[in-house]
Amino acid sequence: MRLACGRLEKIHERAVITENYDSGMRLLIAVASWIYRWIAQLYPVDFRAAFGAEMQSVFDQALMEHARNNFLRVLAFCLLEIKDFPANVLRQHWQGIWNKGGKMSTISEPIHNLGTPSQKVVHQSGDWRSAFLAGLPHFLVGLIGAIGKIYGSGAYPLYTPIATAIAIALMLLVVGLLLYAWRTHWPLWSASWYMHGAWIVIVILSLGIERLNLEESWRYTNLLLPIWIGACVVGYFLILSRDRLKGLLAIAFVFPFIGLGSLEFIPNPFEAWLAIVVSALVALAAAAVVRLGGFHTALVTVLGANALAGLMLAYTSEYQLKDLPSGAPAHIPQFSGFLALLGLYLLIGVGVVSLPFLVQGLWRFGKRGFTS
Amino acid sequence: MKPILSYLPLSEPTYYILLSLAPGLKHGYAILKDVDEISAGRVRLSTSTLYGAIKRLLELGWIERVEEPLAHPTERERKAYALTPTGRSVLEAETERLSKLVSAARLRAVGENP
Repeated sequence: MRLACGRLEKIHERAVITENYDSGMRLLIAVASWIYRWIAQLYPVDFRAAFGAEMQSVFDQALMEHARNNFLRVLAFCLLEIKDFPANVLRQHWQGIWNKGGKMSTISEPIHNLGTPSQKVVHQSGDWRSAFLAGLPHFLVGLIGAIGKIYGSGAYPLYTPIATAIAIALMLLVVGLLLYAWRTHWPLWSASWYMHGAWIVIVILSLGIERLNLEESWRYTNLLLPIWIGACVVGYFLILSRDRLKGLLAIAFVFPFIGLGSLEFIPNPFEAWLAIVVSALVALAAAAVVRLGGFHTALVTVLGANALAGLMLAYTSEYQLKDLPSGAPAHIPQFSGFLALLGLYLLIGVGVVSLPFLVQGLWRFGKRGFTS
Repeated sequence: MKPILSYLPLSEPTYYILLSLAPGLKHGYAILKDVDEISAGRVRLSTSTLYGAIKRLLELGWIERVEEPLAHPTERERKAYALTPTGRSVLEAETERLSKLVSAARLRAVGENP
């Protein structure tokens, strides 16, 4: 009720102030102010909470002042706002994501602590919804991979339109959830979506390049994979340097994801079931990380899930190598081969998770030694 | 805490915002107008640049946010900004640096064209 009264008061106040202008100018002021209010939503939540109302008020005041002169002054003012807006919004998001801010100085009230020292970020146990959102992308990717393996042989005439529809739906889902994560200030579950978001960007770029029908376009699409890996590595280190648990969740399941994609000569139905089982395992582990919250528990969960995925991948690579090309010598499964693969996969699975932390630790150690 | 000199030179908008607050506290719109005036219309701040700078200056502890005293009890409360002692020191250091720069330029110009 009080809020409604406040709004009415503001509308009345504005009407009184703007009644000195002609109807065209009044409309222009109203539209510009309305647009400004909407685009200001693009600022990070903290920034809006601290300065949103003030910015709107300053914008309205400046707008009305310029409107007293002429239309061109209003236009010049709006153009200046439009010119500066994108860079400033991006800068605030950049600072928000990497918590570059410090504590703001105030006399009369605490406003907002726009940044906290990164390593002090402590995540509490998440709710079931957050846990579900953390696990969802992993399971979806496995499920879609499995569908592709079973129905992608060309025997199903409806495969292409259905696959296209699923791909578009998945893209919309990823974009929607990343937008939601941005609006809710990148909660822990959002770390699960970074890799998938980046992956989808790569897939879209690949499809675009293929559509261009360039000479040897496969070279360009192949180049995207190392770019993706490089971007992931840089991104992970940046996340890790700010929030260990988020970093862990973002990097945790790179190995099963790439391991599934690199399988060859495995019968499609088996590979499809493997994709579903591994992605379900990974999804459960990601959900557990968010639900439990603690870093050490999360580390054990992630390493356990990666070890189990490694076990399944090693078994598949050694014992299910049945779809070899005609003319190739038959593969005879051996336990020693299985053990060698298992060792390799465990090394990769554990290495992918622990190496960034090890590098980060060494970096800090070196930096401390250098500064002291 | 980093030494003041390591923050210099300041960007033009930052310098003008600090300069605008030197006489006393001001609210956002007054800063916007004052910067336009003291720079003779050369530096025009948009609201996004102004508040991006204000946020950074608050984080650095060079300015602080205060409640502006109300002229009438019926007025709505407004936030205003004031220089902190650190902010004033930074402003003085930058002004000193600029004046040395101008003095040096004038000396050279006089030397070349007596």
